Amino acid sequence: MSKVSKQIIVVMMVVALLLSGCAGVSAPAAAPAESGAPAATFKVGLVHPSPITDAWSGQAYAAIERMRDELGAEIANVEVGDPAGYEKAFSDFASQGYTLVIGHGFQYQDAAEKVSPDFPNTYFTTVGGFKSTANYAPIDLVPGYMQALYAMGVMAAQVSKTGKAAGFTLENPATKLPLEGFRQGFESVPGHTFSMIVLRDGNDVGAGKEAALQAMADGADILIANANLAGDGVLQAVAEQGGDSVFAIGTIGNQNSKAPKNVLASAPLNIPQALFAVAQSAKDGTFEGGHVRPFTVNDEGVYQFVYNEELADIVTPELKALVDETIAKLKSGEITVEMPQ
Amino acid sequence: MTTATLSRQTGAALWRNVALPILAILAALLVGALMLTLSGFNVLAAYSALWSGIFGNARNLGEAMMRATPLILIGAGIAIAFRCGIWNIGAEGQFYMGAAAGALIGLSAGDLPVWLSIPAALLFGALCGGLWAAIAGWLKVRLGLNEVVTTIMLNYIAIGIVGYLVTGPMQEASRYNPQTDEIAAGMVLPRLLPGMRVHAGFLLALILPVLAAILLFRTPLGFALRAVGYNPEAALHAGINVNRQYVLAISLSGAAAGIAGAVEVLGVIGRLYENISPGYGFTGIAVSLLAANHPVGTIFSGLLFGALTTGAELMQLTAKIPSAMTFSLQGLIIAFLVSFRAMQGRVWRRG
Amino acid sequence: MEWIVGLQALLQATVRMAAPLTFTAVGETYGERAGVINIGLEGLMLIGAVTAYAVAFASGSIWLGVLAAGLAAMVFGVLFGVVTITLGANQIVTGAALNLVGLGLSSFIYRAFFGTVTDRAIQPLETVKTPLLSQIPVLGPVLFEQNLLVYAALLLAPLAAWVLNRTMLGLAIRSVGEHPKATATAGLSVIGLRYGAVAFGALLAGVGGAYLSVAYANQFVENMVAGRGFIALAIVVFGRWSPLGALWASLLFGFTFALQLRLQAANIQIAYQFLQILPYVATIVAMILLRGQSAQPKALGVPYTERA
Repeated sequence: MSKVSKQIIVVMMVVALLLSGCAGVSAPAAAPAESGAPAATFKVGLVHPSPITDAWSGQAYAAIERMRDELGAEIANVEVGDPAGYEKAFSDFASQGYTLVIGHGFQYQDAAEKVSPDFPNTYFTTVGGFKSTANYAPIDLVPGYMQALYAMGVMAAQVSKTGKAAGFTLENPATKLPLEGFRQGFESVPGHTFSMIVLRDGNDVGAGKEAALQAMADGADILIANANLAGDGVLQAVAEQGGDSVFAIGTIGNQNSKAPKNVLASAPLNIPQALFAVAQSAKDGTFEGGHVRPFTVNDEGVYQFVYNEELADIVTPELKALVDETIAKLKSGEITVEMPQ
Repeated sequence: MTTATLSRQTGAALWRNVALPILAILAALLVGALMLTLSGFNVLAAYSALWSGIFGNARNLGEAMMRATPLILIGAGIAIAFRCGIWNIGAEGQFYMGAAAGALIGLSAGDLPVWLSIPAALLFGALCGGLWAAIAGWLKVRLGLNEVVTTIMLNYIAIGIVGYLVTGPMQEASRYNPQTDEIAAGMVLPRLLPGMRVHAGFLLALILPVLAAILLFRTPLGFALRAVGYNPEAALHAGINVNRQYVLAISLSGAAAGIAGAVEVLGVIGRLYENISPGYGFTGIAVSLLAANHPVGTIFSGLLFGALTTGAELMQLTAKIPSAMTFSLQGLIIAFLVSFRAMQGRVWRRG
Repeated sequence: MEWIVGLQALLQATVRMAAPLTFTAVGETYGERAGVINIGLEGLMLIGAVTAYAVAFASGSIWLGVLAAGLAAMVFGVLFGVVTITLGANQIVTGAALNLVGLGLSSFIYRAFFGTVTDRAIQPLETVKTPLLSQIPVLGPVLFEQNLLVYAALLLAPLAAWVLNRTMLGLAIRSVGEHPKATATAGLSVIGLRYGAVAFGALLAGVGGAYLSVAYANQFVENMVAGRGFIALAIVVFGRWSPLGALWASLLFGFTFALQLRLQAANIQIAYQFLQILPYVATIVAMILLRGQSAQPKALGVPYTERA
């Protein structure tokens, strides 16, 4: 027997001993985990992909805070960005008797679909996704957000002098499709063009900034970013180099203060409002699984516009009226926003 | 060999391969505790959450085994490359290529019998990962390009290619999300134990390192690989085809990472998308190093790192500790281990 | 005239994107010329980025932030030196560990101290127009209408080249990387020179990271270095281990990166992933074209022991 194989055996034995020792010590603590019993209290768990201080996950956190304050929910949240951990996060919450588990992003739909049948007493929802089970129903905010940004596109088309707009996004339909809505609104004025720039990394603020500067050099005078933190870079570029000729539209949250002289308006997505409706139904027991719950501009309070008062001379009452008129037409179905192929 | 020298060697091996890693882990936890304290966290709460996140229940242990699977497979492969003295920093890209290959077979071979389709997917994963790594090997021996740099570049290129595949030719039928459809249900690797997510790929992670060790330490080929790593010039003089060993070692290493990618797709994720790896390829380097580049040792170091990842999730949930803590702990373990080993080496040279 | 405006913006972006790469790559060039390869640049840049941001946020002074970033990264560079130079541990391995530590530590610090702060933006570093020179068409705005850190990066490379090639110190550094034993025989401290080169390299990597957070993004974002540390490593090789070569290679990288954004902005219909991998393919191609004229220091990566 060689020296090396002896070493291996020794190492294996020692580590095996250590591991079994560890397992032995912790055995008593393992008891109270699995329980499918119905929860006495209303508990909501949130699984989110990024820090709760950023725009996207912050919305979801705000939603569960509201559930705590208004529905008396006991809340907890966990950040899971790593695909191999999705399922565990869902089953962790469910096995602890949570009433509702929210996955904040379409990427969680596979995990929700797989985990939900094992925990029939827990309701599951994800923000985005199109799968469902008896106790899992995703909400789809995209159709309404495409409509809302369509209206912003119509407004921006009136402000644009060059007829060129640029959008900045990530390779993900939840961020990309809303800008397709903006495109259709902006290009509803003949001759206007919109180009879309896909960024590699939603954390690379510098890349967002440079992309915006390139688009400005290319003549775009309306910029809109839906690209997580990289979108902050776009607004910085507009704030620093935009002067009084390049304007931006804020997304997801109210971003007017990030470039106060250049953001015409923001179109905050009131995710708390949408999720709150889901939580309400989970508490009442009226939660409906088995199908996607789509939101459109007809759902009051979910899609909003915050106009930048500092730019009131550009965003005139006439323009605001145009936005209202467009929204009315979208609600009635007179205008429809197409899904791009 | 007398009994005395034998026991002294066993003692030395025990010290080097068991005591030093444990010391390094303790030292890292100590520095970690300092970090936590300075940031105003409760160390006791944090570490007890870490502990029960790993050993708290059977499901968590199964989770750790599942998390360890890609790390062990990658680590065992890297051990082969590092033993041969070729610095493969490209396991991340090789993992992606293997994942893409596994997904391709998983999507298209659903009609074949399982005993054929699953091995085909794993083999194709190994092939693609191996070929991707072979590029760097070939560039090194033919054109003299530094493999550290080329493998890093190939990582980004592989990730870009996968990004293209999942938005282009391989995108799901609905063409909505940047991902492929789910692989055929029959090709999902079976789970080993009820209530745990650990899947049949873990068995592979137990077998492959043993095979790698046999190759390295029991075959003429393995001898040649290690000879090159020990001293390439001497190996050349001894008549060993050094260039061939380099290409072979990095290809085997890439093949193992490729298998890891295919296993992750077939066993855990069920489809392919762009951010499928949270840096497994880089953690795999640490896994191999902690095991002193011994393939069998990667089973233990892989389990340790898998467990750290699992435990960190509970630490985040209950003690609100940022999960980034795991990376710091992993890095510190390696830093301490290489320092301790180097210190020990100096002590021995003097004594 | 529109194309001139476009070209100017493209080149300005090139220079801005090259600056952090230049800092880091010039520093690493020194380290590698002294015989120490540090693949932990990504980690060092992250440490620099978070330190600069935290200090600038707390003190209100960006320059204090940049200074702190350089020093913090230097501390980690010295620790790296203790492990690799004094203890003689493997440099690739230790560098890999440094990357993990840098990634973990920067995110940890940021979350521990800024996890609940919502208004986290700091004042951007101002653009300074050089009088007269900035009036030159195209080149003026590209080279002389930037922030001070960009000027520093542009000046650093020739200065570093001069020191390395024309001074006794430079000669000593170069000889440590080529023939450490001969250097020791000549009465110079191999260990000391290597520590110096590694610490200097780490300092510059920290400044490169600081550029990203305080001069570029005006905030810290986790993992915001986004692979630039690894690219800097490639740039050192690409630039044939010379500071000026590193500057040119950084500019080339900056250009390919700016170009792919520009092509997307101009609605060029090509799978953008191919544009995004362009810089990495370009590196390998350039390495192939420039092969043969090996400039790699002979003792690169080899630990030095006095007794051996």
